Amino acid sequence: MSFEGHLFLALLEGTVTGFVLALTALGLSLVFGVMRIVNVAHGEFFMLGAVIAWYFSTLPGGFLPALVAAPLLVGAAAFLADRLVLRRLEYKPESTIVATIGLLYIIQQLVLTVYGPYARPVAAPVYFRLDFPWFGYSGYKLVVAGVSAALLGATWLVMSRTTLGLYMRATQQDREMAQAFGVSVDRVYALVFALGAGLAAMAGALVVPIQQAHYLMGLDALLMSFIVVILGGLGSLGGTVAAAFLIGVSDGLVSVFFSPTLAKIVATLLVALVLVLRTGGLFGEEGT
Amino acid sequence: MLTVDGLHCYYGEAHVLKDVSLRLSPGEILCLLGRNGAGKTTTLRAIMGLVPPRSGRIALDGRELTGLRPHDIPRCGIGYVPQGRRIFPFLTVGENLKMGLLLKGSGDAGLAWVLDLFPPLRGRLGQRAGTLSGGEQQMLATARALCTEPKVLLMDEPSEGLMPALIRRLLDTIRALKVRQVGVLLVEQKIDLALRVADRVVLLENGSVRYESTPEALASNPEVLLRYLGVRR
Repeated sequence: MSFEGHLFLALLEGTVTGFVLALTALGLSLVFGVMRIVNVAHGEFFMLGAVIAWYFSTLPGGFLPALVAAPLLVGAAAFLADRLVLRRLEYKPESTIVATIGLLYIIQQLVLTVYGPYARPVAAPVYFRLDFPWFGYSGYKLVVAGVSAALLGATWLVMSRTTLGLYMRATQQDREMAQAFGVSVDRVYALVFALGAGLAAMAGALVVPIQQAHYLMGLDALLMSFIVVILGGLGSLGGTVAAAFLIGVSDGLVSVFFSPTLAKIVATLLVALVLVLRTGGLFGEEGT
Repeated sequence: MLTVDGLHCYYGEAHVLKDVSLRLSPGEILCLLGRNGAGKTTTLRAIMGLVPPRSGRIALDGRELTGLRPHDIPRCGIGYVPQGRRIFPFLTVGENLKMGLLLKGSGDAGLAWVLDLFPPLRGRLGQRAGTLSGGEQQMLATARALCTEPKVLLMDEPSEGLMPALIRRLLDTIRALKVRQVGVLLVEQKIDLALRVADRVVLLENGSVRYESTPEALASNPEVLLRYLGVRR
């Protein structure tokens, strides 16, 4: 395959990775921005989405209903976790880190007990190949990118155009003043936590036909989400999405031309470099 | 009528409000005076439910506010212009006002009235609030609170950092509220300003009410001015 072929493949893979990464990390960014808590269990919500998607693929209804059920079920679980755990800790930064670490292990071990230690594949719900001059490419990956893009757009619309989004942004900027204008911060927090988990579950469900479902798959998702959120600037959703593409495309380029392991090293170094040069990340704190 | 009866508040172990009682009638302008740390801001925060009182009660038109959650209190008809303005800096001017309008669901009619009071905001609805000048931010903070159509407005040092022309405008706004029968509880450091606009003044010291009178009586009482405010006239 020619150099152009490799370059095109790298950019294509990188863009798809960028979309999935953006969708995976968006919830972490949202939760940190609005609630000021670091959700260490974020990757487990991603994993739960994937496992639920596998489970649905074994049912007569097939894989597609999972794209609705996984985010709803996981969102509901997160809503409960907020009510039963985080709210009782009054969302204190240190306590919630410890609590979400606990949540991580509870979810992981529950899945290990119920689902087992297997990596299980799921057949893609749509199968077609796109033929480029140099190679054929899985159409499902492009579907994943498209659905991710639609969800990113929908999240942006909710944040910028709806009353709920306005309340979320106001809460992020000044929690007390939001209350002084009638915003029930408790309710906003519960919704944000559920929404963040639902987005991660959606990402997990979408990638199952590419990656297989496994009870430890949340760890990599968590690491990559952290990298992207920190790189993009804590509290900035736009920064998170931009950083996801930066990491995705650099990952694609390095993986194709060198090796996937080197790509992870480069991503981690990139974060370290950005943090040394710009403590607040690429985009820093902003309202949306 | 806003009534505060025997309010006691603590920050941890520190007893910051001791038996504070206040009355505010519709259309009345009551000014809270006192040195830094006297408890003026805490009194307003307690009324907003942001500092839970340990004992005492707060009521508006006979409706008990004590024990309500903070986000229910503005719904009862209390507007808040906090110290330092605390507008939402990354929201636009229009979105800041919308935060107030949504509370009442009054929509464009409420907005029109508020923009008539603060014409400079009219052309800036799409601008990020954090990019406004200090004077404009003060207008926005007041406008935002008025969008909730409050019966009582709590204002915490609204004149802070304003140039004289804007202070005159602020006083005009407060008087316009009086005409609309809004009660104003004003915390102020500038004694002259307070004496010019208030119907009654209350002096706080160390979290207790020490003196209450008309502004005229306070102005002609140099001993009280010196003792509680350190002002020589």
